[in-house]
Amino acid sequence: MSLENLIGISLEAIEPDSSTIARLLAAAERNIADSHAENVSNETRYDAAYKAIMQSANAALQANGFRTLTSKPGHHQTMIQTLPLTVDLEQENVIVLDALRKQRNIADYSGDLVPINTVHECVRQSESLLETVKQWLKTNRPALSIENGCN
Amino acid sequence: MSQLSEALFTTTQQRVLGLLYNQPYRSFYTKEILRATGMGVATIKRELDRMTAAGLLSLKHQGNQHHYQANPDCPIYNELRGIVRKTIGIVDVLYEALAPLADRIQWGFVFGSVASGRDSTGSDIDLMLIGDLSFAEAVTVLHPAQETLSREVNPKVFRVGEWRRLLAENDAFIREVSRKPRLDIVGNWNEPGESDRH
Repeated sequence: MSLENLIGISLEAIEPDSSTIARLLAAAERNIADSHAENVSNETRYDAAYKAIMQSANAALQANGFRTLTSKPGHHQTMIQTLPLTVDLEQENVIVLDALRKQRNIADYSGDLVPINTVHECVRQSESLLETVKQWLKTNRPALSIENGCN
Repeated sequence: MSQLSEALFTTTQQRVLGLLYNQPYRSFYTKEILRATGMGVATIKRELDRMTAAGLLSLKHQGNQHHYQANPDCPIYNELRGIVRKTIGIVDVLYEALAPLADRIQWGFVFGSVASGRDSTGSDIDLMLIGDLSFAEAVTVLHPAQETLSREVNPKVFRVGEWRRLLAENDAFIREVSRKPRLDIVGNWNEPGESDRH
């Protein structure tokens, strides 16, 4: 599978925009900071970290010149499953990220609790993915890298 | 037992197949089968005779013992093993998958629709794991089992202390899980804190 193969199925081609990517990464930073808050519920911390994962994954996709098709369902799954193609993420990380996505669906709709270990995992994964995406940009798309624009 | 296995097999057949077709590489003598299935001798004997006559099971005599075993020469042996594993054998598949983490799991059980037998073909398996393990460890070892079972497995991983606190707080989610049917995989639910199996 290549990203090009998914055009029209789950993706569309776009012109990468450095300010959009910078905005997504800044939002991911803020959400990660929020996910460390101790005075809110596990579910809220989990949501914040999960949002950061989606924003980092979306930045990775956009930096490669794609975005998810708004007319098709399963954006989150697409963004997670394309990570090996966008930023060379290992398959074992994709398995964990995809499991975190499913946990969120269940917790959102059934009112299940999110255990503290799972919150920690989500936070850890969000931090690691943000770092991976930033590193990938610096190495592979220096023109889009946040370090260039902001620092 | 799931709705799928209920629709396909009688209770006796589920117990016999669940035992013999989940451990097809060994034989069981009649007394063992009676003990494991917890059913009456006449009922079990009738089922064993019928399955043996149909070629589903093989029968060997050792002294005065009758040894029954899943018969690999049966034309639907592989298919039946698959069906048993996916319907009756969920517990065994999960138990094997969790083996690398078993010494750190205090209690592990299936809850939700699969445990209460209200599951249909695509139902996810809700798995509760209480112990000293991470969510990532759980999903990593369970990932291959999803393929075996052709179902998604969704683990909830709680620490022992966290679980006890939620029990003490009478949390709505934990209360609901505690009240509904479970399929125990590892450890024992009824003796929290007294588990000495590790």
